[in-house]
Amino acid sequence: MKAGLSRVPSLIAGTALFGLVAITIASVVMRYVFAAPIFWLEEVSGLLMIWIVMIGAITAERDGQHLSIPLIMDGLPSRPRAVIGVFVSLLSLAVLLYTSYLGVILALGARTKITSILHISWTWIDLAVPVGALGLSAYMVAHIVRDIRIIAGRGESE
Amino acid sequence: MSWPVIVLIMLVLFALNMRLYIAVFAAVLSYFVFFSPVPHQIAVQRLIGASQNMSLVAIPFFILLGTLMDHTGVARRLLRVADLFVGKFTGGMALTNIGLSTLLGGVSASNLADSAMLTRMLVPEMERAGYNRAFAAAVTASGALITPIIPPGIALIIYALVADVSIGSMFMAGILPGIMMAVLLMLSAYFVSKRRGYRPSREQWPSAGETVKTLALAWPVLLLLVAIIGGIRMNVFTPTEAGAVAVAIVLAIGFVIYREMRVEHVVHALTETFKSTSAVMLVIMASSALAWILSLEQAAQQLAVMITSFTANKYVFLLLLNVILLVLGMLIEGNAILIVMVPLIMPTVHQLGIDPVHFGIVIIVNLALGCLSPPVGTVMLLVCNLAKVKMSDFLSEGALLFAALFLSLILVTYVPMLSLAFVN
Amino acid sequence: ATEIKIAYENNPGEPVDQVMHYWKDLLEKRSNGEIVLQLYPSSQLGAKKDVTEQAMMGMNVVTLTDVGFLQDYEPDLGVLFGPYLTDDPKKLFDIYESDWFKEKNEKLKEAGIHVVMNNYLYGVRHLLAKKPVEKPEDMKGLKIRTPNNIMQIKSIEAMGATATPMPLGDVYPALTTGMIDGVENPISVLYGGKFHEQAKYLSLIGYLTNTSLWIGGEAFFSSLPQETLDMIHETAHEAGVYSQELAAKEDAKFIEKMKEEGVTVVEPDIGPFREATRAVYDQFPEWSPNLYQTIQDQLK
Ligand code: NA
Ligand code: NA
Repeated sequence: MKAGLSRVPSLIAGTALFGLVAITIASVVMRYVFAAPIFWLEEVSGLLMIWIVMIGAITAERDGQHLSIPLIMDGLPSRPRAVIGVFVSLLSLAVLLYTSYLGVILALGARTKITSILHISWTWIDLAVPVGALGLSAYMVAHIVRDIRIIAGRGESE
Repeated sequence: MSWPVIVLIMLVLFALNMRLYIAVFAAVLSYFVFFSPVPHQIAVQRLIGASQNMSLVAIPFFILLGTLMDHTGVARRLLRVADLFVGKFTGGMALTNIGLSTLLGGVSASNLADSAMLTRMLVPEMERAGYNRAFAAAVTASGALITPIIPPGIALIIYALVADVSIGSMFMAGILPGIMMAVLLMLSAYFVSKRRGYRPSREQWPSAGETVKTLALAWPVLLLLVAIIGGIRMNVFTPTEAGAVAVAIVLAIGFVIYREMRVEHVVHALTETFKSTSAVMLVIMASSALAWILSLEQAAQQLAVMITSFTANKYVFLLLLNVILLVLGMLIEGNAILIVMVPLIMPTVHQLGIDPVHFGIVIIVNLALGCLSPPVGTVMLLVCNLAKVKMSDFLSEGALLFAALFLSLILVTYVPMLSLAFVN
Repeated sequence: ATEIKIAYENNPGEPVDQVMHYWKDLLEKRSNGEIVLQLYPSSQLGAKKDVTEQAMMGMNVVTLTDVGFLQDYEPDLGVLFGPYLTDDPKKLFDIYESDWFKEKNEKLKEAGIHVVMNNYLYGVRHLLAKKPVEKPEDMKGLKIRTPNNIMQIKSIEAMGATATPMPLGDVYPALTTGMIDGVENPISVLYGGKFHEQAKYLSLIGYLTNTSLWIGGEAFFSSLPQETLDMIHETAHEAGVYSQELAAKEDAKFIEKMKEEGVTVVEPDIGPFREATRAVYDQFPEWSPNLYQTIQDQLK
C-alpha cells in the first residue's frame, strides 16, 4: 500500500514530462509542416513545468536526491548529528507547511489572473506548490521520526 | 540593508545540511516575516515565476537526451568516433568532453542544458574507461562554462544591449577567450590524466579501414549531432526545441536502427530526468525569489556604488569587480546581474578608459565562473546531482581545472587584446 | 515619506525609463521629497502579470500595462488595442477621458486595480522585416514576431503573415538566420533591440497606436491621503504628456539613425492594410454588442 502510494507522484511527473516533450515536438512540426505555430505552447509548457518540478520533488525526496551541503555535519558523531537533524527537519517542516498555506492563498487569489491565449486561471499553476509542499512535508515527518529513534538509541544511523 | 542578514541566515542553514532549496526559501520567508510589510504570498509567487521561463524547459530536455543517449548505445558509438581522433592522447576522453562542450558552446544558449546532457552522456562512459567519477564530473562542469562566452550566447546579447555596443562586436570578442579557456582546460585535464595514469585508449593511429568502418556504424549518431548543432545554428529551432527534437531522433535510433532500446529504458530515463530537474529547478526557483528581494532592496546598486567609488585605478577597479561579481554570481542568476549592474558601472568604465567590449567579456567570464562556485553555483549543483558526486569530491578532484578557469579570468581581465583582437 | 515602486519590463535608457525619471523628479520636487518613486527597470520585480498581482495583493508597486493585457480583467478594453482604430492618437486619448472609459475604470477598481496614468503613449507600432512590405500581399509567408497577445496575433495574421509569438529577448538570435523574418514594435524599441542589424527594411505600417496605462493596487492607493493621491495623478498626467512628445521626437530620431545604418524605410499605403484587418473586430464574442461601433462614434 505504502509503496504503491509513493509511486503516484512518479506517475504524474513522468507523464507530464512526456507530454512536455511531445507538445514541443508537435509545435516544431506545426510550424514547419503546417505553417501554423502552436500559440499556447508557452502557457502549457509553464503549467506542465511547475507540476513536474513540484510533484517530481516528492519522488526526489523519497530517493534522497535533493541537494544539500553535508560537509560540516558529516564530521559529527551520529547522536549530535541526529539532534541537529531533528531541528533542521522541524524547521524544514515549518517552512514547507507555511509555503503550502501561502500557496493556497495565492492560488485562491489568482482566479482573475488568466493566461492570454487559453485563458487558464493561474490558480492551476499556483496549486502545484501547496500540493508538492504537502507531499514533501510527509517525508519530513518521516525523517524526524527516524532521527528521534537514533537519539533514543533505537535506530540505525545511515 | 536587511539583505545581508537574510544571506547570513541562508549560509547558516546551508552549514546545518538543510536541503538547499528549503534553506534559501527559509531565508526568503524570514525577509517577508521580519523585514517587510509586503504580503507573504508574494514569496510563493516569486518561487513560481522562474518556472514559467521557457528557456529553462531546455534543462529537462537535455537531461533526458543525455540519459537516453547513454541507455541506447548512442553515446558509446559517438565516443568511438571521437576515439579515432584523440584516443592516442593521454586523457583522450577528457579532451573529447571539453571539445564537445566548446562545440556545443557555439549553439546552445544555456550552460545548464549543455552540462546536463554531457554529464548524463559522458560521465558514465568515462567512469567505465577508468576515470574517477568526480574528476569526470568536474571536467564536464568546467567545459560547460565556456558556453556563454562563445557566440551566440544570450549573455553576450544582453550585455550588448545594456551597454550599448554592437552585438556583432560582442560575438567577435567572445571567440578568442572561449578558445583560450578550452585550451587551458584541456592542458589541465591532460596533466591530471598524466599524473593519474589515465592511459591512451589506443597504441597507434587508426587505419583507414577502421576509420571508415567506425564512421559507417556511427552515421545515425553523427546525423543526430548535425541535427542538434545545425538546427540551432541555422535557427531552425530554439535550443529548447532542439532538445525535444533530438530526443525524438534518439528514440528513433534506439528503437529502429540500433534496436537496443526498450520501453522500460524510456520510463526509467523519464523518472531519472524529472527527479534531477526537480532537484535543480527548486534551487533555481528559490534563488530567484531571493534575487527578487535583493532587487527590491537594491543590493546590486549598493554594491555598484561601492565599486565605482574605487575609481582611482583601472586595475584595482577590475580586481574589485572580479571579487564582487564572483560572490554575487554565487547568489543571483547571471543575466539579472548584467541588467541591473552594468548601466550603473558603465560611466566609471568609460571614465577609466576601459573598452566597453573588453569589459563585457570580463563580466561574462566572471559570471560564468559564478555558476561553479559554492554554495549556489547552479552548474556545479546540477552536475554533482546528475553524476551522483559529493560536492567535496567534486571540488577537490576539479581543483586544477578550476585553477585553469581562474587563470583564464585573470588573463581576460588584464590582457584586453584577447577580447579585442578580432573586433575591427 | 511615501515610497512607491515603479516596475517595467524595458531597460534603462529606453523612452519608458526616461519618462519615469521625468515623473520621479517632477513628483519629488513638487512634494518636497515627501513622495519618492523607486524605479525597477528590466522586469526586476517580475513579469507584468506578476507585478499586477503584487499590486492587487496590496504592495506599493505601480507597473506599465496596456489594454490588450487588461482585457483579462475587463474584456471590452481589448478594443482599444485593435488595429487601425483611428488615425489620430489625440482622439484615442480622448476616449480615456470619456464616460465609457470611466465606467470601465470603475470595474477595474472593483477588481482591485487603480489606474495611475491613462495618457501614456508607448509608441506607434511598425514593421521591421528582411524584405520591403508595401502591401498586405508582401506579408504572405513572412514569419513575424508578436508579443503573446491575441489581438496582435490576429492583426498580423489578418495581414497575411504568420504570427510567431516569443519573448522580445529571443528576437535577435531568431532573426539572425531566419526563424523569423520580421518583428513589429515602436521604432525606438526596434532600434533599442538592434534588430536592424539583421533586418534591413522598416515598413511604416503603423497598425497600432500603442497607448498604455500605469496601474497600481486599489488596496494601497485607497490608503493614501487625498492630497497625496491628487499630486500623484497630476504629475502622472504631466509625465504622460511628456511621453507623447518624446514618442514623436524619438521616432524621427531613430528613423534617421536607422537610415544612417543602412535601413531602407518604406512608406506603404495604409488603406489595404486597414481593409485586411477590419475582420479582426468580429472575432471577439466576449465583447459587449456593437462595441466597435460605440468606439468609432466616440472617435468622430
Ligand atoms: Na553560446
Ligand atoms: Na550562481
